[in-house]
Amino acid sequence: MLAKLAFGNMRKLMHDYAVYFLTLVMGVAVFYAFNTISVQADFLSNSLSDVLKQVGEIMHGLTVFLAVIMGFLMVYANNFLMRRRKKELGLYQVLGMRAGQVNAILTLETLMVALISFIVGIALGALISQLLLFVTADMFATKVDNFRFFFSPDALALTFFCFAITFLVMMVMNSITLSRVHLIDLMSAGRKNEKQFVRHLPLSFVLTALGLVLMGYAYWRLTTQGFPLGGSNPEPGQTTTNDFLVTTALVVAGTFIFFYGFAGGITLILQRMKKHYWSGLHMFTTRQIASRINTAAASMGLIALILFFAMTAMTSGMSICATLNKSYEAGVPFDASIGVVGSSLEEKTLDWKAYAKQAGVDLDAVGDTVSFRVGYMTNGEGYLTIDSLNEMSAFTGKSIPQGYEKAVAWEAISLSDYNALRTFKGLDPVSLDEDQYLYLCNMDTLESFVNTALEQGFTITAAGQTLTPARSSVIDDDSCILQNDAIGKTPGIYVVADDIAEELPNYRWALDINYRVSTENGDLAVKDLADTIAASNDELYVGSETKTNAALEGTTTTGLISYMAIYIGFVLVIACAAILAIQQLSNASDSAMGYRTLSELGCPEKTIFSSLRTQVIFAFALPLIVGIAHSICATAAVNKLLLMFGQSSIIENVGLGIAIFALVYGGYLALTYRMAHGVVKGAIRSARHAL
Amino acid sequence: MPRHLQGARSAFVPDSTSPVLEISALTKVYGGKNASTKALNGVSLTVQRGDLVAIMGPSGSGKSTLLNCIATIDTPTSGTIRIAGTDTARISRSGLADFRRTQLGFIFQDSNLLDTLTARENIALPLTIGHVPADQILKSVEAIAKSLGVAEVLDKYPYQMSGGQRQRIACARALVTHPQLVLADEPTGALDSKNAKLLLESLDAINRAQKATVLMVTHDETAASFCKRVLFIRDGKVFCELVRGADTRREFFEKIMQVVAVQGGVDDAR
Repeated sequence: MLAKLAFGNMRKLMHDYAVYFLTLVMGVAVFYAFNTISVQADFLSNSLSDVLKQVGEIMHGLTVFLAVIMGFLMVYANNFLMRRRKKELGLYQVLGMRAGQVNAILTLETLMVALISFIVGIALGALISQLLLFVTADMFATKVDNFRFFFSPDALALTFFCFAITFLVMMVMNSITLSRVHLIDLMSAGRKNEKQFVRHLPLSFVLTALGLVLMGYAYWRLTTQGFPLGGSNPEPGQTTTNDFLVTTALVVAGTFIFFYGFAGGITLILQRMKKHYWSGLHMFTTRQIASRINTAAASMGLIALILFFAMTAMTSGMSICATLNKSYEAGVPFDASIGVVGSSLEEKTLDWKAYAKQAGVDLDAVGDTVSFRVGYMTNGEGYLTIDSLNEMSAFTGKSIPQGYEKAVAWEAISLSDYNALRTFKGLDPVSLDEDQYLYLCNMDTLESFVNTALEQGFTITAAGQTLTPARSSVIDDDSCILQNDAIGKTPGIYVVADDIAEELPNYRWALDINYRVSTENGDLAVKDLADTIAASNDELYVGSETKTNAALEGTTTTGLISYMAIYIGFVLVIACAAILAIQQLSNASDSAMGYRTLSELGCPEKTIFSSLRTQVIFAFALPLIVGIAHSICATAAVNKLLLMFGQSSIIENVGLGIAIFALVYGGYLALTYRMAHGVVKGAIRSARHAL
Repeated sequence: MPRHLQGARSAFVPDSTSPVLEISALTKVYGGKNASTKALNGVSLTVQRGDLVAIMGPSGSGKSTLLNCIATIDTPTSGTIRIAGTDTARISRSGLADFRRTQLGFIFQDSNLLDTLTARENIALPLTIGHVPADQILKSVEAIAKSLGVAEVLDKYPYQMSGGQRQRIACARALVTHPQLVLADEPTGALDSKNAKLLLESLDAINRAQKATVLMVTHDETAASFCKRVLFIRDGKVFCELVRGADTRREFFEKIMQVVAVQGGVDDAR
């Protein structure tokens, strides 16, 4: 009997709150699909396998975090539905059912709901994961080998675990709700005129303004102060963690205060527009929206903040990817480079030709090459390197730019080697006097700091000679990148006359190649040569970086970040959209009799539905707009941070993120309107029983 | 009666020479071939301008169906309903909303005020829907609220008012457009006797002062005794009619009670 009741209820609920089920199913599907990444590794090339397994670990951690948020929102949605069923639950008790039995019905219902949505969700997730495999392959720039249907028990177990806990919490909350309320309240719920949470209108206006001011102030703080880079031990003048916490608190408080005041504020303004307000259903629409925001101010504020977080995670993730991609491109100007570090070697020259011969590689046939030696500047006493940046800071009285305190500049290259490199790159050679030096630097923020020192005639001592700057500014062209490396950023390298360079101790040698042969053959030759050098001398540390390799590393990192960004964004956006949808739908059915009254008063259906549409769109748009505003500010700050790594701060690649966001959010909006439309239409068309 | 309010953007021009309501041979059959119920079985009646008519009858007598048909919410199976000369069956579906807004006023048992609107806004609704200029709306609302004695609650929300106040606000909403006919469905059903009396007195006063025509469905003999005419309906037919004439309200009440008692007696005898 109880089971039959529970089953009937569940079917009714599934119909009335299809959005809730859709969300549960999607949540399960997405959790499962994204956690199959370690299984997906089996289908992809071996070199990615390990990487993807690591990504899988991160995904598991992320899933637990997202499950907590998703679970919280689902529990909220469930409580919301429970509130709406008070009368029904009261009726069971009036008919003589014990509270325990009602609780049993609820528990059974919850279990059935959970079971069905879990099974459907896993089935859907299994399908999605097959598609996701190809997306993964694309993201990590590889192809799928021998595809077949796959299923991941690990992902299933993790999803089940998260889901089970969420539903356990729901069940507990349900029985708490049930045990707390009195029968009389259950029965009379819905019969009273709904109390309106109306705040004093002028006060609301002040609150709205205050909220905006707080948010604006927080924006200003974040854009001027940036992120706390100093960690727990910030240096003077740096943004502290406390500063950042204050900014965060300001924006959170501002958001909530804004939502508490907004409804009243907007009503006050619209009422002043008399002609507009007292025409058609405008005042009805305004009041409905105001009432909705007033009763749900806290949840709307929370949703705005979660949307903000999701969007920032996505856009930042994407722009980090874009920046990394840019620096990979900038960082690997040659087809390949071999670097040999060996400060203990007495010999000043490294015989590349001899090693090539030993490795059986014809360097001239493989490609065009350029090679050079990099020495290091000493302070003249033993082997201690000079500390240029700090000396410059002392010399000019300007402090080292924030974030560059740990940067070093003590490498030096001879003028001949440097000019050879410039010629290799197609740049004009430069000239230099015996007692002069040039400074290579391509880090935007650092350049102006160094330029000040050069302008003021900052001198260095090398091989016992005092050198003065040959130019009043640094050289920041492509020649700053002597060889392929991951970052493509040079804080500082000195160029000195050949005689002086000859005196400086060895630091490293490097060989750059642009292939004449195919990339594959070229990469093989480079590997052979590097291996041969490494094998010839234990004291040499040999590293090679090919364009191919850099591209692979690049796509791995960007792939991982994109993956996480999309995962976070997707889960959070469906959770938020679902809450908004459920609120709007239950609001529509609460107001159904009101819409019916409007129809009886002679309001055309078209006008009624246009009002409903405005209400639904507004409820979805307001938190989104606030979230977007926050997100633009935060993304701007993130970009500022990224400026330190790359010259480009233009947000690129956010297209996919925006598309997913728009699709999911817009989809929920459209679905919500369609369902609310159905509810209202039913109410208008059905005969009023009382009449 | 200000014409600009009555006819605001309406295609319906009331014919002032015809009766406000003219019903002839109205039937309404529910259900299919096998299990049909005749809710109305040939009802004919006429209501003249300025009349205050009560329709009484036991549950299931068909009085709600009658009201629904007059209200253009339900469609009759046969027979005609003319409101101020317009045959309601000839109005298009899209024209019905317009017709209801401009020609009819509704008062329900549970006042059906919109929770999110203040009293002032609730009363103004039919006018704003009709796109009457804002200044006129506010003037009309004030005036009607004053005549119903609810001017002081105009800025309150429904939950802040008493049941009696809510019902009088609903009255004001029904009357603010100066409709041809006000339909009231158990207007006192949810009120205590004191508030019921207050409401009926206001209705009576407005009926006299503004010549508003009111058709009221009620169970309550006291409510009926405020009217000028009482029609008794049973089994889908008009069973008998009482006219108050020169009677005092008490005398009229006694007559109504007698008919109700006879009706009850007939029912018991069956």
